[in-house]
Amino acid sequence: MTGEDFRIFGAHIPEALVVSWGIVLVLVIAGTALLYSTHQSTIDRPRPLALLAIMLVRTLDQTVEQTMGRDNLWYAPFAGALFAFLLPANLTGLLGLTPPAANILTPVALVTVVFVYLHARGIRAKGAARYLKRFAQPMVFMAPLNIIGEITTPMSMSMRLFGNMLGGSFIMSLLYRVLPLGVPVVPHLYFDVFAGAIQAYIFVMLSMTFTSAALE
Amino acid sequence: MQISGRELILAASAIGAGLAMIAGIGAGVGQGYAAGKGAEAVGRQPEAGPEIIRTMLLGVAIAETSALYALVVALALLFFNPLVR
Repeated sequence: MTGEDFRIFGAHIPEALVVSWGIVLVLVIAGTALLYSTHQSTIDRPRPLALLAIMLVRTLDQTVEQTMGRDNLWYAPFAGALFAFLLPANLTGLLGLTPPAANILTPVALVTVVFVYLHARGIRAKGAARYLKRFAQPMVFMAPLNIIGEITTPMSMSMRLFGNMLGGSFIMSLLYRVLPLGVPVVPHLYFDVFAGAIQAYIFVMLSMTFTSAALE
Repeated sequence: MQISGRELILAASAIGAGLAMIAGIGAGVGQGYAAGKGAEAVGRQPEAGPEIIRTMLLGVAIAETSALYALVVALALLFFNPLVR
């Protein structure tokens, strides 16, 4: 259900890790192609792939600007990278693979990256002393509660992605046992395409919201 | 028929997993309420549609957390039960 382990030279490699590597490989190739065609095209003769790249970057910049404001446009590449990984990762259920996010390791890793980046940017923007003073709001003895809140936010964020993808792939595997051939296509549309895309979007939106809240 | 302790724990875990999923009621009602309010807001102000839908999706996702905790608990009881080793 959470994917089987591959054994490579006696080491256990989770399926989620192998699928993630595959997605990263595809993303690197696609990104290289976009970058190459952008460098090759001129104003007079634009290449189709270059126009696609411009469209993607503009949509991303607009979304980040609407959510986090003009000052936080530096977050756009990171948010785009998260979404570019999560969207195909959540759609891998269509290929008969287990989505990487159905293994608890993947959401925890992503959330760790998001929150380390968040705190690093917060400390860099305000200085360590002023940033840590945020935890003593509104009064000093509230600090333990604030710190617990700061820990449970990433936990609930990783649980949200994990629970959704695990639940979806679990229900799909149950339906495959019950339904005749061909019918599971319909629930695939909901559990993989709709729920997967929504969860990828929500993950990126939440990381943007928390980051802009921490930087205020 | 003899029922061993392990079987008793498994039976109780199955019932517990079912009971845990009752938490889905709260999330369902809450998300439905949020979606209804979102539809109302879009109907009143169609030009603010994308903004309203984005805000609604964010709130709905956070409201879903409690149901997802219940789901994880239920699946843990059924498949990686910590009580049976």
